[in-house]
Amino acid sequence: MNKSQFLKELEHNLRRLPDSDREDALRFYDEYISDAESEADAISALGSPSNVASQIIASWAGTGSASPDGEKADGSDADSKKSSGFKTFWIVFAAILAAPIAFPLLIIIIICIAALLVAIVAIVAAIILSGVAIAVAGIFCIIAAFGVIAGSFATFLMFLGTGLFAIGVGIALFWGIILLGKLCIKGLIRLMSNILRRESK
Amino acid sequence: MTFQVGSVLLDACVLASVDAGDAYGYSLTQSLKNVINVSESTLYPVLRRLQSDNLLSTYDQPFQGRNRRYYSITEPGRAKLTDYENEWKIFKRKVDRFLDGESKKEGANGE
Repeated sequence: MNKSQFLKELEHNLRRLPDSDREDALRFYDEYISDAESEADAISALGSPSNVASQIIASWAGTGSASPDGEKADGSDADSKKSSGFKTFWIVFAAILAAPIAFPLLIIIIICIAALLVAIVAIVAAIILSGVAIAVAGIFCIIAAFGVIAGSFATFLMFLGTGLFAIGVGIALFWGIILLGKLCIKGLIRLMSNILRRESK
Repeated sequence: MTFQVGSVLLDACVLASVDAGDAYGYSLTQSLKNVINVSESTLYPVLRRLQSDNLLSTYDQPFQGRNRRYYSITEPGRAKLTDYENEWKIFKRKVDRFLDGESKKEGANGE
């Protein structure tokens, strides 16, 4: 394999990475091979482009997709953080599929990752729905409070207080589980990055 | 049989090597390979991470009609290197003492 073949394959393996990260990596290895005393030796010492790419992707995912230019993708707002979390997940997952892992082991890895992902999504969805349900119940409770206001003021206050409390709990559950869900996805990505790194040594 | 170099020790060695003198990718990899047993494909992710943590910075220098990217250590990088060096001294001393102590015990008990 010569330099341009190596770089072409490496670029192909890194195609899902953001442009700046991919170009930075390609530039590094272009210079690396050019600077080597023997291009052929350097290329064979590097191993397969697929391995090199796996290491790059694993490291990129582990550090929160930071680009060396100083911009961190983690510093962006909550929405893009969520989408970059799932995007990162799929990029690492695709890299694991492309890595030279023995087929039986690969199947086991995929099943475990899928199971964890399903578990996380299911729990998050269930608690989000619970949170919404509790908050809506709280709203109805407040409405009922005004229906009862003609009777006893104390009862009105009780309904009102319970309703407000329920809305608070609902909101807390909602935001809490989204936070927890993001942490779990991050943890899952880190786990996958470690698997990728270990399988491409 | 060689000892595996963990990622923290690898970071320390990279920082130390760049601290000794600015280096470009290939030269840095070669100097490290003389000391620790790393595979060539491991270095780039490490350099990238150290750079994004602001422990290393890069600049370009023209060389034979193209640009060559050099890595140099930053102030935070130097501070981190000092931390690593201190931790290494403690670790090295502990391991030496332990290995030494264990083998002495072995000599006393075993026959």
